[in-house]
Amino acid sequence: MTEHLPIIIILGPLLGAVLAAFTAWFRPKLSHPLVFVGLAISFAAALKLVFIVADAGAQKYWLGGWGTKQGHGVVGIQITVDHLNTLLLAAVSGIALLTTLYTKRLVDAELARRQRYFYALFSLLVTGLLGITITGDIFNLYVFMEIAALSSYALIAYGRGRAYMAAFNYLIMGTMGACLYLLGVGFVFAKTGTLNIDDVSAIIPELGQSQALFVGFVLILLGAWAKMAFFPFHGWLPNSYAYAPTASTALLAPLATKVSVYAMLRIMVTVYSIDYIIHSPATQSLVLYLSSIAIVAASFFSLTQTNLKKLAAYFVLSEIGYMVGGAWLANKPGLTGAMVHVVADAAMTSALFMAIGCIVYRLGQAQLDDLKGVFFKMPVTMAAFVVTMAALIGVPPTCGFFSKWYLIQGAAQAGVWHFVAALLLSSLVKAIILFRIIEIGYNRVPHPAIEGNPAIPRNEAPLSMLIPTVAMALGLIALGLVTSTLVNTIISKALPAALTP
Amino acid sequence: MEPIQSIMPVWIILTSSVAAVLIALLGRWPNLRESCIFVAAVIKLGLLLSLAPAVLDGKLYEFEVMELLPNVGLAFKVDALGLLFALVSVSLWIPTTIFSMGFLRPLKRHAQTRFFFFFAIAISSAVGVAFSANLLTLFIFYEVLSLSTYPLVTHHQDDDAIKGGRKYLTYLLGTSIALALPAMIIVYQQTGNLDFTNGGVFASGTSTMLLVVLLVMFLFGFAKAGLMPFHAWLPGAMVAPAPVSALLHAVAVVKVGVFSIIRVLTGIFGVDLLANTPSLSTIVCVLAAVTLIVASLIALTQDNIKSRLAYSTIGQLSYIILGVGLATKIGIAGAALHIPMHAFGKITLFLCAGAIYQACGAKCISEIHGLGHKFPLTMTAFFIGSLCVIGLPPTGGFVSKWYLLNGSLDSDQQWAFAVFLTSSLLNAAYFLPIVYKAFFATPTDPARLDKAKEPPLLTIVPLFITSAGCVLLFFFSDKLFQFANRFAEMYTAQ
Repeated sequence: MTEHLPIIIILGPLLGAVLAAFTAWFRPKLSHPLVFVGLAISFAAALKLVFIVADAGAQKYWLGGWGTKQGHGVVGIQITVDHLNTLLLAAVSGIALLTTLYTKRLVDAELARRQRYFYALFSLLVTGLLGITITGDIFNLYVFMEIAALSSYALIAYGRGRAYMAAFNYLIMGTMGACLYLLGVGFVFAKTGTLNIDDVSAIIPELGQSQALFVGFVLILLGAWAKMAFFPFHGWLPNSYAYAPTASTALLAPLATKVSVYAMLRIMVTVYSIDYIIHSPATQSLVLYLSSIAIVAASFFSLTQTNLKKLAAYFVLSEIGYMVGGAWLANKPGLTGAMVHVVADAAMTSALFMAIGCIVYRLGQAQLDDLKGVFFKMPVTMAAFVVTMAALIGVPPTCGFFSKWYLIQGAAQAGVWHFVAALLLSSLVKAIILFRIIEIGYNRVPHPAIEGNPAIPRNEAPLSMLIPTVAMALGLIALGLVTSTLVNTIISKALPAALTP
Repeated sequence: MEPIQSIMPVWIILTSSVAAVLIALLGRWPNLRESCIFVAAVIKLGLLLSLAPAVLDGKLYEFEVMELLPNVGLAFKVDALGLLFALVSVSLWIPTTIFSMGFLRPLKRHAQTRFFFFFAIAISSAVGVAFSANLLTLFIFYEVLSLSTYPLVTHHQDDDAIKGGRKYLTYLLGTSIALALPAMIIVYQQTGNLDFTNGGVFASGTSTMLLVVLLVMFLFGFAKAGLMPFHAWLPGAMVAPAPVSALLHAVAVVKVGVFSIIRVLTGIFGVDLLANTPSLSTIVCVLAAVTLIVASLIALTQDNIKSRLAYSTIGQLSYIILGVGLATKIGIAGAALHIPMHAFGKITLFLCAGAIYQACGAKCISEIHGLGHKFPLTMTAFFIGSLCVIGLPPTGGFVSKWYLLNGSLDSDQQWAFAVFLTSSLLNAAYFLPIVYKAFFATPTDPARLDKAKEPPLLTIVPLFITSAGCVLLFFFSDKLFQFANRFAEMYTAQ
């Protein structure tokens, strides 16, 4: 049974999506529990695999049992769970599971009568994301990328008004990214004759210096960057996330971009070798500058925002800069930091958008000025929000502190001081924003405990939203405390052996 | 000597956190709520004292909770300095709580539960800093302290409070994230070690340039120590209620700042490195000396009592930094000793300021002329507190300044001797006129004096306790000196 666990991860949400779409015809109420069960199975399998991988190393699974010999893999598709993706698989399926629970009330409120296919699309998106993460085949990765992208266009367009335009914008950029990626895969296939990641990585070193392979590398990376909204391909993201229904954003924001970052890491670390980056210092320093600019620019834009959802969208953009920069430092702490941060940031962004969703559910709007007294209205939600912001700022012992620690250590080791400065600046900006929100939400109202002041009635979000939010926020602290264990047992083994310590 | 493995430090830290939870739960019953603070404080004090004999023998208590980064864990170590600092913070927690009850209750202040809750958390994190075995653990508790004191600073929730709170966080979080954190990461990247080690963590041959940069980043990064130009948060934080200014901004928070700097200088750089690299020692001494003199001069110009006290605190903190910067055994012992001595003196002064404010609403020195006849007890306590801060017998402040002066003569930086003396004169110049005017000047506003009521007993009793403490410290200074000397010996004897 355990040898089939990898495929169960994908099958859970895929079957959930198909069944949910089918039952939506005659019994729409069934789709939510179906999707939930599918994701629960997927999460259980992913969690079990984390332990298996930590004990026994990478697990490979050949679909249909085809092409089990090296070099015969062109026909069969391989899926792999190894040290690089096992944590992300667990994070994606776990966050998706919690988000399913969380979004029920939100969907009922926001999409009322239009929600028939929402959960089918939701589950299909998760299928795509898990597929990108688990696949061991670069063309198959493209297929899953499109599955994820198409369902996310639809999920964004569920919002009304400006959401259509935002979704269209995303569609253009997303399609461009996918094309670039596919073109790059074409170059790789032309040179190596295979699409299997293990085979490609075995063949590439034998080919030596090859212009075509390098072009392929660049095209694939550009594709991944467009998908993850890395500067300067970031234009589509803030509007898409701000105008999409809050329920869609709660799923998209934490997972979609992070999975694209993983795709980039996979290409950099396993498909091509990290030497590609080390041996092209000009490209490396260009990308590092772009990362710093991404972080700094996104931080400044987030300072000017008045809408909470949009502000959080700019946070996502700056975090993308963290991960791309960390990966391109191409040293041990930098890559470790990027890999830890993929998981940590998925959790942090999820907690952030869950807290924002609770606020939106009760206040209707997420303008900063509307937050007056929100700490008295929704104390538990705001406590979770403060913990999440502390994690984003990088206050120990939350997970955000440790990933940032590795990133800064990597940057210091490589002597890339502008990246250090950008990371610190982004922390400071987030701290400013947190305390601006505390000032508005707490200090700007007459304190209700003083006699004569009007009482502010408590109006928490419903429990089905509150519990996942609080669980996620507490998870950030738990994740921080186990960071060292995760790095020692799993992430350090995902690093390329050739790296200097 | 073999360290003692014991979970005791963790329990000691947690005592006040548990108290915080109880405070939050018992919010509706004020008497029960406050008695739980006293119980926690007494338990905590008892546990601390139980560690004292072994620590004075030169033993260490150690405990690692978990590993956070390779080779660096959430770990605690109790040595003489840490214990001394923890003892001071916790023992002053008791009079401050009594004072808070007297100060907050009659005025029917809002959110008292929140106030006591965050106060208890702040005490926990101050003791956490005191017991940290490495820089990372220290940094964690340092940040928790900044965050948990923010609601205390903005307690009044009016515009001034918000402004003061903003400044408070900008300075404290800003410097710690932008300077101390990267400095710490660079140290880790260079040496792979963040433990406070006798003799420092740097390998010999580390470039002086790098050391200088790191030193400056640490000195300014721990802005709680109030080194200029990162001192402005402290006068800004004076918008807080009097008990907060008293315990946190004269003892816990600011002393955590200098404590962190002492730890970095002795445990990360190492006293030998400091003594043998003239540029490092000079940087510490010059920065501290400038702050010392300038802060005292600014204090002379302040009419608001609490701002004058705040600038005085900034100056006195630099005494401690200068003492360690001298890198001699006596100097370090004097610096360590100055932590409790200044704490008792300054807390007395702040409590007096609070009592005066409560009794007649006076915030400025020009408003309290002639007040001594009305409140002889309060103003006498103020007088004793000022003697202690100036450093005159028979108060504890004399002893620590004695050792600091001795230390400066032992070192290469003998000009520090003159700086110490000048500053003491300035201290006298800004404190004694207050006492003089209170007793001998004609009242500027007799109507106000007539209206003034004697402060309630709950605010007077703590003044007795702390001012008696100032005097007792003089007569029992040898006990405290044992702690300070044990610490200095451990880090200087090679």
